[in-house]
Amino acid sequence: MHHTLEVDSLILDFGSRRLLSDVYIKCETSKITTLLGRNGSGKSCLLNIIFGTLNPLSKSVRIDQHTLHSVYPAINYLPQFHFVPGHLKVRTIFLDYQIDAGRFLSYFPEFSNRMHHRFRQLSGGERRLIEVYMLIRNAAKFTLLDEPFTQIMPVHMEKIKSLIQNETAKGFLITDHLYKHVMDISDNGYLLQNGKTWPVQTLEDLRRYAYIHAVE
Amino acid sequence: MGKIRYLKLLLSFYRYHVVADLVITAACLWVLFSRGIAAFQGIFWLKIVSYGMIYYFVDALRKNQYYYYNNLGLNKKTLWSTTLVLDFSLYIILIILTYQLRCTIL
Repeated sequence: MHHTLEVDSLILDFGSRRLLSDVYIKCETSKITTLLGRNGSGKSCLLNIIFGTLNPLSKSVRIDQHTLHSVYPAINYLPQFHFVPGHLKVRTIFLDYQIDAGRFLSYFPEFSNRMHHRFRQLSGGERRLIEVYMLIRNAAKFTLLDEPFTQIMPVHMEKIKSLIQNETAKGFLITDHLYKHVMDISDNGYLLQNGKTWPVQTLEDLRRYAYIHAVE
Repeated sequence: MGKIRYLKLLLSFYRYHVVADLVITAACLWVLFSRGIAAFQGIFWLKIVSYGMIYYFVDALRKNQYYYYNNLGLNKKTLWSTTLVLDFSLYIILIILTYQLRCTIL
């Protein structure tokens, strides 16, 4: 079944500074939407607002035209930092999120001797990979990924990209500074600049808005 | 979400503050046992104030980990209210048992 997540009417202030004002984002199931922007432009704040962990002055978050009152189980969110408690064992995390560990090991066999480890015993990249995998596989209609490729080695990055593309029942909203990787798999995208969103489709659009120039 | 899974997640969060909670509870029980019911008001408020301090420190140190539970449908309010009610219930039961033990022995 096809679902649509829409976000608009956002106003977010930090003190006297208006961070977000003219924002419109539309994300659909079976599509990958990217959200790009410079550091401090409000990308993470926007994802937190959608997820309900940050309250702006006003917002409208809708799924299939209905205002969203509770994000669970429709939306899940990968923050840009490690969020899994370090004392949990890897296999417990898979049980909590009801994800097939065997399937994970078929993609990433190098983790076969890590399943009984505590999460804090893994390296930063290993932890990030498990966190990203859990949320990609978790049964939500929409998954918000904040910098999913950070700390992940290139060979795993390609596998993660393929996993995202294969989850055709879900919609993804991804933000990452590795814009080439994100644009590579995206169906549509937005650039967040000066508190406003601008639709972007190609790298030429990013150059036109001086995002790439700012990065390079 | 299944009830057992829900309980497991709450216990996993309770682990963050259970040691501090039990240390305070043990101290309160020792005071009650040695001083009697006259100390009840003091140990009651000690326990309440300790909750505020425990919340302040755990919230500051573990704030990133709320997302683990948020993604499973448990928000911060549910996590704290449930685990504090559980701990306070245990505290009251232990207070009653300690008082009865004191009355029996002394």
